[in-house]
Amino acid sequence: MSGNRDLFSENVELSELVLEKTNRAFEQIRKEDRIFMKQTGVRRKKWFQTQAAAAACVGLLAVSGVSAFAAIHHYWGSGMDGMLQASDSEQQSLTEDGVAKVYREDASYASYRVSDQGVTIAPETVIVDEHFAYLTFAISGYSPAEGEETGFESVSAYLGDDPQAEDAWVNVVGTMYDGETDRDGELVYMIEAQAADDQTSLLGKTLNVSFQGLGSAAQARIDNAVDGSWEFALPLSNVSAAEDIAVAQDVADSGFTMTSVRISPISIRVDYEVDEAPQLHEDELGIPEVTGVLLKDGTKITDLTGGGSVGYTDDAKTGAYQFTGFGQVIAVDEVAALLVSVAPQTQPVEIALDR
Amino acid sequence: MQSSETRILVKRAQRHDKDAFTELMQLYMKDMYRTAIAILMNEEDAADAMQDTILACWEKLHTLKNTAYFKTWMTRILINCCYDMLRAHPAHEDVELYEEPSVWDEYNLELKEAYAAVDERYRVPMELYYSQGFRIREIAELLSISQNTVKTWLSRGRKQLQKYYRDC
Repeated sequence: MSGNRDLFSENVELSELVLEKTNRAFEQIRKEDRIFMKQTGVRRKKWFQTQAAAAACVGLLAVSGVSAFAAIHHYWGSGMDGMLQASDSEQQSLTEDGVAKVYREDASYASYRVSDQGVTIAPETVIVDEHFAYLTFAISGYSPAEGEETGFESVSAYLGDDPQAEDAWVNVVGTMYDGETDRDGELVYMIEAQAADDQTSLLGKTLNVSFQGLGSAAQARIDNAVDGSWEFALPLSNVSAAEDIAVAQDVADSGFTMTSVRISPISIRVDYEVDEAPQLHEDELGIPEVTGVLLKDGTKITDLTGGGSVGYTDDAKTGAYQFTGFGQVIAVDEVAALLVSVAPQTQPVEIALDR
Repeated sequence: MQSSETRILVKRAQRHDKDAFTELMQLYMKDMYRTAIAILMNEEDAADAMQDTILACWEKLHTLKNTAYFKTWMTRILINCCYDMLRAHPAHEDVELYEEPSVWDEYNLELKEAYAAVDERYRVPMELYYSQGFRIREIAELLSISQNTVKTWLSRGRKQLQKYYRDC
């Protein structure tokens, strides 16, 4: 290639178009609040947990009493709508079942609102399963300037009472809902929390969330308009909507046999057996991964999954697992098959779920 | 393999240091561009694929287990993004819908013209091997093909490129 080698070594010039689009990606990342942590050094903590729990019992009784006479129409809010695209009927059933909680419906809603420096933040909707929790918070008392992207200086979270504990780890991704307001004119902040490993369940745990400093995220930093702190201790539901399905099907061209599936409206865990684990190629374990679902009506939902983890369950690598979240709420009863990717750039194979 | 400085950047980026991530990706911008162009042959699509790749890398960086393989890992994501775009926009191959070249396509014209003389499937291994220093084995894994196929494609690509230069 001596005559043509210049082609491969010559310097390329990045066009303004390329720079503009890549800079847009970097800017988007800078505006995103993402913390993987067990939080330390919490400045102030408003422990209203006990009071809220007691009030919640009263609230539950009150709501139950009302529901005997008139059904409540549950609405998750525009932020959760945008994040999980749940249908109205899914919002009703998952809230009725206790999988999702709409805080505005709680008689003790006022006790969940935290105010600092004139800005009030309150949990809006929380939906949870074993591995994932999605939360939205409504923010009032802050008016972004026209065109301003709003963000927090930091958002952090941990599970349980002790932020230093090993099981306090939780992975959290958060972002402002498109910088738009909900129907009450409030900003909405969305959080996706993910269990740190496949052995940790979020169900029944207390998720502590702390927001610090609210301001303009238009630049690579937050220009603090409000130097406040808002902290929450949210008891997560212990109700699971997951369905366990025994499978026992070989995943074609992989050497893996899918043995069981635990599928909920917002995530999935699958387990495999394998006689001989594939060679590790750089970072690829070679474990098949669920990427979508096939519904009973023939609809294929591809690119459904995100986040989570894959790995082996034992040192001998005879068992493997994957858990991953869904980008939208799924009606578990309607899932006919899983779409499983065996290798990059190949079509996913279908694994039927026979109940 | 990467320099120790680069691996430190990867580790800092994995701890969600946004400045480190930006600095890290900036190191590979031109390599990303060359790979994207080799597949897409279109400035706008290449820019979109690079944008998607940056976001995907940030999203998934915590899943990278061995920081030494960051570039291979990132390149795989980029290649997947590019092929996703090709699948999503098959109109590129429809002559009637073919768009006029944009002003951006004037950039790096010599590279694009030479690549246009080489089949797409040969361009990518050539770019990865001759320009970016990937090994045959690594390219085989990146493209999910055998090492012998990589060697064959490099050989055929070389011949096509030599013919192009002879005819110029």
